[in-house]
Amino acid sequence: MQSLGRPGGRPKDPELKKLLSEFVCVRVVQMWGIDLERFQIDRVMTWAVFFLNADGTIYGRYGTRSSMGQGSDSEISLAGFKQSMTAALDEHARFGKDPEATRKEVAGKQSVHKPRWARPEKIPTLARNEFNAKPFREFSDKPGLRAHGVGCIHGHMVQSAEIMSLRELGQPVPDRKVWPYPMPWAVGLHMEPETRSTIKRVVGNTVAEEAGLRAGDTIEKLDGQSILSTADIQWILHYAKDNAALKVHYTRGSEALESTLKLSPDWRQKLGDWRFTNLGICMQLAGFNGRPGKGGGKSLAIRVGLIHRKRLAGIDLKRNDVIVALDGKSESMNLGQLTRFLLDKKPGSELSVTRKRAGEETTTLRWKLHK
Amino acid sequence: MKGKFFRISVLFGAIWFFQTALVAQEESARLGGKALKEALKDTADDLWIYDDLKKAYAEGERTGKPVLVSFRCVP
Repeated sequence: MQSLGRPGGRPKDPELKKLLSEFVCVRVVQMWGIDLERFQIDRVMTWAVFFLNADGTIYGRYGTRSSMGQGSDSEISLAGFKQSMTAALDEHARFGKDPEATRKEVAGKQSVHKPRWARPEKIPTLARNEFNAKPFREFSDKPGLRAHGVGCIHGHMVQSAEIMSLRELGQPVPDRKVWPYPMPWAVGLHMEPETRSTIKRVVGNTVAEEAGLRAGDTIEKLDGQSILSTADIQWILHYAKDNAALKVHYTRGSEALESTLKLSPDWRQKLGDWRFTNLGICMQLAGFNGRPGKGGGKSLAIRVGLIHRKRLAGIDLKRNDVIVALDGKSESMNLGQLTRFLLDKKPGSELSVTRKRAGEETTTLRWKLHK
Repeated sequence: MKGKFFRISVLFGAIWFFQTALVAQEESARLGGKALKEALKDTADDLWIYDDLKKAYAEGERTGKPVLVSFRCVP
């Protein structure tokens, strides 16, 4: 039974406190000045953790967000976090005994790709904003600004700004920026949040089922990297290539087993997506955003959400209109695919949008994309 | 008599329903990420260094402890 702490009634947790006291804990509350090469993680999260050595060697990551709104934190838990912390302490103990061997073992967890911009404030679209060009602390004591988070570079701003800046510079936007840090269910795995890396459920007809994985198995290593959390699985999937074959080492009871997850050519693009960053990019590029309809139909059905009134002035598009074709293409798209479609069009090029509205004939509208 | 029995049954049923709902809500909060974030806020205030990674690395070097970096927007 946990004792109650303050009169407010939040539970105290001595076990958590003891585990935290084994670490030097640092809380970073904004992204200004952060080394984007070292601290690579899903940026569209409200909370994320790195476990690392004082020399910067990363042992693992913790923190997973799977949706917007309620349930967005359903993939993390106190019990799971404690198990991940314990595993990180084990890695650190191994590092103490044999630093070189441990460095080799965790080499895959270090940043393998240099980001285009080393720090958030260097990303062109952020650098143009006067509040992002200086450290947060220069604004943080001004009443009103702090309350609204003005001057604070949030993680999700980095995610969107990298994409928009690459586009502005005419450089390709990799798919992993549009579908970042895939959830394990991309390969058919649902993880048990109360554990470090135990499988809760394996989806039928997926690569995980083909690999022979079962509920209750614990993933020890994936693609040669030890797994401290679901975030570590996402890290590996984030950089996994199409058609990749990822070796998985797992335990079933006391038995140590291994198998291979064979990814399909378009595994990433098939992922349904919830990211509001992609909604924001659609808005910036096309002047509207919207979510593809549910039901998994083969035809395009994007229900219009928000509209940029100024940009689409004179265009007869309203909230809740359903877009059934884009540039004449009527195949279904998920949110990531819509974002990809818009990013692949040239800045300033014409977009043709066919919309349906209750009680009216289907109409095709045209306007130009953001330059 | 029957009417009284019915009213008492409904009352006990309602109490049972609300109690079950409350327990389920508490259990869900305990298991989810919300409980984790609340526990972190509550138990470890004195352990955190704020916005100073250099200081954390130096402290890690000095004490031999690993470093835990938490990214969290200002609450």
